[in-house]
Amino acid sequence: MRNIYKDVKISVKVLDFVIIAGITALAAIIAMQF
Amino acid sequence: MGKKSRFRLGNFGDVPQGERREQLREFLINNALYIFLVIVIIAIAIYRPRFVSPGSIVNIISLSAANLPIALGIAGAIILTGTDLSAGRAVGACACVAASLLQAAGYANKMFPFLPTLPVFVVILIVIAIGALIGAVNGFCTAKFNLHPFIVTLATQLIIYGGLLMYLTLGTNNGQSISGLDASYTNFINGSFLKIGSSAIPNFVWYSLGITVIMWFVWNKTAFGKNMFAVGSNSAAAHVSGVNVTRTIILVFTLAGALYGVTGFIEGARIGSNSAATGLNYELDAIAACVIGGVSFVGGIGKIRGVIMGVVLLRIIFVGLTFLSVNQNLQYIIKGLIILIACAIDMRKYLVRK
Repeated sequence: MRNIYKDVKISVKVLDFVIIAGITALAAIIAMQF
Repeated sequence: MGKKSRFRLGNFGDVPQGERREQLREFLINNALYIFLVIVIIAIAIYRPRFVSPGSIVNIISLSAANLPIALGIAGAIILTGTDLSAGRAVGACACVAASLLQAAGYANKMFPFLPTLPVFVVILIVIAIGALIGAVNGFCTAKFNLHPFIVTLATQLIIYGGLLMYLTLGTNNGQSISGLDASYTNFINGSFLKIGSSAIPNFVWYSLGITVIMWFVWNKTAFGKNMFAVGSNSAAAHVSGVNVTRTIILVFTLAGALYGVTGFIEGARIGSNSAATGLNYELDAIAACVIGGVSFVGGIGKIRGVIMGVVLLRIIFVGLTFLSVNQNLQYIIKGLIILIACAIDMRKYLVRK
């Protein structure tokens, strides 16, 4: 049970990274248009 | 994730500071895309004030309304943990059929010169029937053969495209685009009785709103709607509970197909000149709008207001990018990134719930 919790926690951290990186990339692309 | 929240609305003093920070972080991450898009919209409105002019707002409302029925159809497929790649081609086929049956009587390049201009309501029923048939085929293959909707709709997408190319060679058309539409059709769709400033709101906006109300009722107040969410959440549990899973899947796809028919009918007059390329990639925008609006790919989750918000947000962003004169190629990259972020947030919410 503990391993599943740990795996899910790591997956959430990876997704957090993807979300933040994606938003940053989007912000950079759109900011360059101004 | 298993932590019991001690947060009570209006009583912040009871919440430890660490937990408050964690809740704020969760809120920011889960709503990151909405917050970002709102900031971009505000920035564009400040940088280009014409973006919030009455004409621009009416344009955004019109484009959103044109895409809303197809998004509502695809949302049903996504709630069933599927997708529908044939939506765009179905819209294109229905648009071409509607246009071919509603060309002006005296038009020189009329596709079927022997055919009188049919009543608008007859053609609406015809294209809805065509769309529903396409949806029924998708649903039947998915439910009966246990194939993934991705594969089924990929196949039907190609079949529809081939069929449409053959249809466009019928009569006197020879593969050309279909235009010269009858005034009864164009007035029915593009006519207007209400204006914002000097910009007229086309009639199809009201038709889309009416369809949205009907779909809200279907999703939330009918047994069929509840069955759809049950099958999407857990089809095995739904089956054990007495839900006819096969019939539900077929009906969801059939309803989606009918909505593609309506979208095609609207697009036929809105665009004015229809060809085999009509409807190309419409499903991508619709899927993106659904995901942004919170319709979950893990199934069983979605709200009508979410679909509306997703469609409107996406349309606002792309009209805004046009105002910024962003390269059309770059818009594809931006669209892809938005979909990626929306999917990541959706999966994150699912994992946190687990």
